[in-house]
Amino acid sequence: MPDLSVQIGRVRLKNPVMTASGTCGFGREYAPYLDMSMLGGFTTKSVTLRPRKGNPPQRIVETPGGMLNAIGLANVGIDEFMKSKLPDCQTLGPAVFVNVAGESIEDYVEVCRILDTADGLAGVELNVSCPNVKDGLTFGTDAVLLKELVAAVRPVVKRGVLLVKLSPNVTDICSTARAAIAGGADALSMINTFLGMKIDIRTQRPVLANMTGGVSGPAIKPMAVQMIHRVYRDVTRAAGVPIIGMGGVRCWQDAVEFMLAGATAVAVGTALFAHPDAPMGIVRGIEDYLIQRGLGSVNEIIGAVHEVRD
Amino acid sequence: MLEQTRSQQYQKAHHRGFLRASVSTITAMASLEQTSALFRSTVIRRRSVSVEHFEITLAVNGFPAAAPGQFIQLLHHEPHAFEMNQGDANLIQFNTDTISENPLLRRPFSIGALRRSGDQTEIDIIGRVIGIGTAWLDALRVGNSVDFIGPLGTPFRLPPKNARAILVAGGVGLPPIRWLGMTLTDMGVDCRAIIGAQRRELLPVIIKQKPTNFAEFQHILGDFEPHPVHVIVTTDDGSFGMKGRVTDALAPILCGTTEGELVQVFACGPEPMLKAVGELCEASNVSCQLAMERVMGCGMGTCQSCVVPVKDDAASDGWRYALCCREGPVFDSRVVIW
Repeated sequence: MPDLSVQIGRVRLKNPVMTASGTCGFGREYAPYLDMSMLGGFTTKSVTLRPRKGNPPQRIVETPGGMLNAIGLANVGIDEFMKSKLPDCQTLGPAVFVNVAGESIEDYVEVCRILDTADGLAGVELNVSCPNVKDGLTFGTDAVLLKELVAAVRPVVKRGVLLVKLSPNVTDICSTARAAIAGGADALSMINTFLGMKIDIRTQRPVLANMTGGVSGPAIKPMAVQMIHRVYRDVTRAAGVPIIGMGGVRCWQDAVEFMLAGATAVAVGTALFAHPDAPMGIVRGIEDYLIQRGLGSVNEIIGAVHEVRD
Repeated sequence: MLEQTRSQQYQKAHHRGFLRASVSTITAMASLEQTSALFRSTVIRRRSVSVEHFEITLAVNGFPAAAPGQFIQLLHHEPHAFEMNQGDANLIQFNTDTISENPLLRRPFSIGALRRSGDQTEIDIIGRVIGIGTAWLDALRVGNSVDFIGPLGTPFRLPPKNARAILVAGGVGLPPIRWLGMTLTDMGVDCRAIIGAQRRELLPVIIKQKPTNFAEFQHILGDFEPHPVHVIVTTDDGSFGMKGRVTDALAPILCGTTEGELVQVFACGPEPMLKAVGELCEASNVSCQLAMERVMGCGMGTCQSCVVPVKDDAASDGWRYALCCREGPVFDSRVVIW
C-alpha cells in the first residue's frame, strides 16, 4: 500500500485529506455520516476572543456552481471553546487545527496564547481573509500588516504549527504569501472565499443581510489551482513551506489536481454540506491513483506539474 | 482484474459505510442530540396534490426513529458517479469537472407522513415547483432513486392525552401538520386542523367534499386518511371554504375555550402567519409550537446559516441566535423574536 502520510511543519498527517474551517463545525456534527478518525486533519470553525452572534439572516445563498455566505464569525468565544468544544475535538482522532479570527493584533495574540496552553492541538490557522469583518480584510490583503500580525502571533504559538489562510481577494497573492512566511508561518492555507454579492431582482435588495459574502464551491476551483500553482512555483517550493489547498474540492480527482499544483494536503469545504461522507472516497481515490501509477508515496505527486518533462 | 476487485471492495466498503452510519445512530443516541444517516431511497408513489403541488413517497430501509416536525435534506439531482463511489480510480477517464451538481446544496423537506412495515419505511414529501431542483423532483417517476439525509431537527413536543390540539397550516406548511394530526389521532388526542392558503389552487389538499358550514370543523379532506381529522379550510379570496386568514378561524376557537381546558396549538406556514398565530395564542395564554422555515446550507448544524433569533435569559443581552436545523425547526412561540 502506498504511503499517504504528509508533513505539515512538525505535524505528520496520516493522509493529506482535511476538512476546511467553517464547514465541519467543531467535529461532532458529522459523526453520524463521517468517521472523523479517517481524516488526516480537521480545522474548526473560527474562534474569536469574545463570543459573536454573527450576522442577521439571510446568511447564505446558492450561486452558480457554488454558494455565497456571510455568517459573520458566529462562535462561542475562546473561553467557552476551551471548556465545551476543544475537549471533544481532541477525541476525534485526526490532527486538530483551530481557526482563529480577530479584529486586532491583540485579539489574535490573546486567543493563540490561550490555545497554546491546550494539550494535543496540532496547531492554529489564522483567518486573516474572512471577508465579513472589516478589519479582517485589511490583514489579509495588506502584506505589511499581514507580516506584522503573523510575527506578533508567532512567539505565542510554541507547541503547534502556525498556518496562515490567505485571501484570494488580492492582486498578487505571492506578496501576501511571502509576507506570511516572513512573519513566521509554518504553512499556508490556500485559499479563502472570493468576495461576492447576489441581488434579488424582485425585491431589488441584496439577498444576504450583510450585502456581500464569500463565494465557495466548485465555481472557485480553477482560481484556487492557479493560485496554488503560482505560490508553489514562486514562493513556497524554495522556502520549504507546505500549502494546504482548498477551494471547491469535492472528489479525489480534485484533490490530486491540487496536489499536482503544489498542495501538500487538501481540505474539503462546501462539498461537505451536501456530502458529509465525501472525504472517505477522496482518501480511497488518492490511494488508488497512486497504486495505478505505481507510486510508493503521495509525496511523489506534490508539485509534480512543475517537473520538467522530456 | 486487480482494479475490478478493488472497485468491488470499495463498493462493499461504501455500503458498509452506509450501514455503519445507521447502526451508529442507534448506539450513539445517548451522546448525540440527533440521530440520522445518509440514505438512498426509491420513489414508490407520485401524485399531483393540487395544480401547484406534487407529492412523492420515498421508500427506504433502516430509517431511524423519527417524529412529526422533523425533516429530511434531499439532493435535488441524480447522484453522480463520483458521489456514489468516489474511490474508484477507473474514473480517471471520466472528466468530473463536467459534472455540475445543480443545485449544489440539499434542500429541506418536512416529513409529511411516515409509515413503517418491517424494516421498510415510507416517507411522504410535498413540494411546489419553484426552481430547477423542485422541477427535478416533480419529474421523478416510480423506481427513480433519491439521496437524502435524515431525520433531522427537533420534533413537536406531543401534548398529553387529555389535551385538545388545534393544528394550523398555511399553504405548503401542511406536511408536518398532516403527520402530526395522524400521530395525535393515533394517540387518542382530540385533534382538529385549520388549513389556509391565498386561493384554492395553492391548497395542497385532497378535497373529498365541500364544507356545508365554513366555520365548523368538518371531515372534508382526504389528507389525514384513514384518520378522521376534522378541518376548517380558509382562503384569502374565498375561492374555497371560509374567506379570510387562518387566524380568523382560530380566534373564535381560542376565545371559546373553557376554564381548565387544556388547549395546545401547533402551526406551520409562512412567517407572517406564524407570527400572527403565535401572538393570538399568547394573548389567549395558550401554548403554541411553531415549525419554522429557513434557508439552510447543510441541515446538520455546521454551516450556521439557518438562524432564528430567540429570547434567552442566560445571554447577557437576553437573546441569541438558535439554529433552525437543530434546535428547531419547532420553536415555542413565546421564545421567538419577530
